[in-house]
Amino acid sequence: MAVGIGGGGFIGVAWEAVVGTYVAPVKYIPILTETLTQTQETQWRRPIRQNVDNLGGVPGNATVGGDIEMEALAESCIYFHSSSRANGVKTGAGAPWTYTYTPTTLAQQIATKTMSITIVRNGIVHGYVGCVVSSFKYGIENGMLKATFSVMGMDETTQSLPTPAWTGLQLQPFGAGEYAIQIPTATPVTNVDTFEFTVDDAGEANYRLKTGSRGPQFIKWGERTVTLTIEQDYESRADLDAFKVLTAQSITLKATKSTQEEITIVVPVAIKDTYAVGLSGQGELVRAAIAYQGVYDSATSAAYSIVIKSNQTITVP
Amino acid sequence: MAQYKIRVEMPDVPKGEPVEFAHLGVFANGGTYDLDEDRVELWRTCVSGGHEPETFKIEEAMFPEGVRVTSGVSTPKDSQPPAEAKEG
Repeated sequence: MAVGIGGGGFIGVAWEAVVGTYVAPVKYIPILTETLTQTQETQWRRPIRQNVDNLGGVPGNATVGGDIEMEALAESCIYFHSSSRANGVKTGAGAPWTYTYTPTTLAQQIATKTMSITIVRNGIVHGYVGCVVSSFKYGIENGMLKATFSVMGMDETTQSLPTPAWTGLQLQPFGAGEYAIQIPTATPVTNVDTFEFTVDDAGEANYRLKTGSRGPQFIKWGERTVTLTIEQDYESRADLDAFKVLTAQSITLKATKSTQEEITIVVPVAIKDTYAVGLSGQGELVRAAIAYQGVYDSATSAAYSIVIKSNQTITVP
Repeated sequence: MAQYKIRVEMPDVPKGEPVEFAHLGVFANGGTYDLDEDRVELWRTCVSGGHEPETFKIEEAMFPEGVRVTSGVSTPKDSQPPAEAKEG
């Protein structure tokens, strides 16, 4: 086989009927980078028997995982959110559909929501099965909204080479001029230039003694951490004072490309965790770097919600 | 020489929506189209990474649900009837 470069590769996803049983892709996702790998806890033999060399390996537990970074296209993100620790609801009479994702307290993914992720690298097919989203991040980089989904799975398998179909060709990622940030929600501000939203559900591979597989029996989710960071012009000490007394506020970021393509991130109760403001140079603007913790909101029963509008038609598992 | 046709009827994609198959082209969902032989050759070369492309049969490729490529035998161009005769 000849050498290959990244551009020839591709990634496709499908939900599994049975956890860990491969399903060929039903949707192909344009990505920027991916790092899915198999990790093995091989036990290296070091018995004491008049020898100082490694005497071989004994199979240990094995798992798969890594990050998938992509342009935050609405039609792509709904697939990953549907495999995260969230309940997805689809509404609308027809396209564009509105998909609303609200976090849950599940300990593990339910059967129909695990994903098979097919990654082809240099024409070689890798079928990752039993995959769930352990954490995800949205951030604006040079004006473009990007998403990173951290995936954990059960095994890597050899599969047949699929032929991708690329749909949504008219869609472009969200760019500069297409964002509305509201602090608090419903009050637009124009003094923020960076935004990063992260949800970490603390995925952890859980192994059990069994026959035939070294992969985890399931991926356990733990404590959820919702964080939000922004950088803002420092124009008043009101926010600093609010930080000192742990005042909560709702924060919304809405990215709108068209009436068919929107992503709205809502953190209904955000409390400032750190607030840093300093004089960084003669010609530098005085700015505040603020990190928020997203706290459970009893009114909406959620620490965050994500609403995605897309023409993509899926049956939310 | 083989003549290939691609049928694009993806159930989850709106009718008329453009669907791209890398190296083969862009097709509106809900139709059957002739495939250019040169494009098929390009597809074989890219899918195989240039390694024995002739062993990659496009009619055996695993396309998504609702997509199928079939092959027949084309009529050599010089033996085809003129356009006026076809219309009649």
